[in-house]
Amino acid sequence: MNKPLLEGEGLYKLIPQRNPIVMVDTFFCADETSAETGLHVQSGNLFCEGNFLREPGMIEHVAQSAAAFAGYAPYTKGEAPKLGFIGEVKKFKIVRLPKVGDFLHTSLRVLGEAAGVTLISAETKVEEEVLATCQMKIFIKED
Amino acid sequence: MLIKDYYTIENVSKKGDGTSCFHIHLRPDSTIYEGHFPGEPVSPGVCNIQMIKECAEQVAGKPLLLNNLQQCRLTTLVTPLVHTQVEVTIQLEEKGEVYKLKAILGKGEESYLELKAELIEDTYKTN
Repeated sequence: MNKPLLEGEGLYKLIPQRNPIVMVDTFFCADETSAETGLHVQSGNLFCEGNFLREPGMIEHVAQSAAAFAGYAPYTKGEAPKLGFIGEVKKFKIVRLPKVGDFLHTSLRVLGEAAGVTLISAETKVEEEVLATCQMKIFIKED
Repeated sequence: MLIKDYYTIENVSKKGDGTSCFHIHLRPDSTIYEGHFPGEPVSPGVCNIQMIKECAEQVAGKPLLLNNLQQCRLTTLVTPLVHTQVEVTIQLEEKGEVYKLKAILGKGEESYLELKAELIEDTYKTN
């Protein structure tokens, strides 16, 4: 994988979420209909319990990956990210929960867009193993 | 409870149709609002999903893994300042190793979030 475009707090340029709930720390690349993101699962993560990242952490990771994707175009124009909210989660299937130390790599694809709502599909992997897949509708709040 | 300061269950009532209703106080002082979002507190959808799962665990009497979320519609933005008191209605059906869950988060006749999912017994907690 190439060097990420943004890492760590660099992602704050793309998403409005701040700690303790930041669930995406790597932004590899994006084009008009897709993006690649990542998260290092660390033990202090809000959604970790024992040695595992729990279900809401995985869902929020995808939601914030979508937020980062939505924030990327404004960022390239020097604009701040807008607030985005999950409108619907569908077919979220978890094969296994990630462990502390895992690096989540998520591929996001835009399936459609209408009236401020973006429908995306996402696949989250650790190395070559698929851990979760889902579809999500995200609303972007216009100012 | 995964997010310790997110909510408090005030009471639980069982209805005639087998569903359970949890009366819940969403805590506006939760540290989650420092980041979601700074100066504009909005209850994260995933925290509400987790809260529903924890209610379902109480009904099942065991820890559950939400490994198949079929559909979750979030129709109203929930904020801890406006929606201080909420209700979670749980309909849980055990079929073999799978728990079929239908849940509504709302207040009175109003629905803010509807969830349909399948869960299994959580084996991560014992590992």
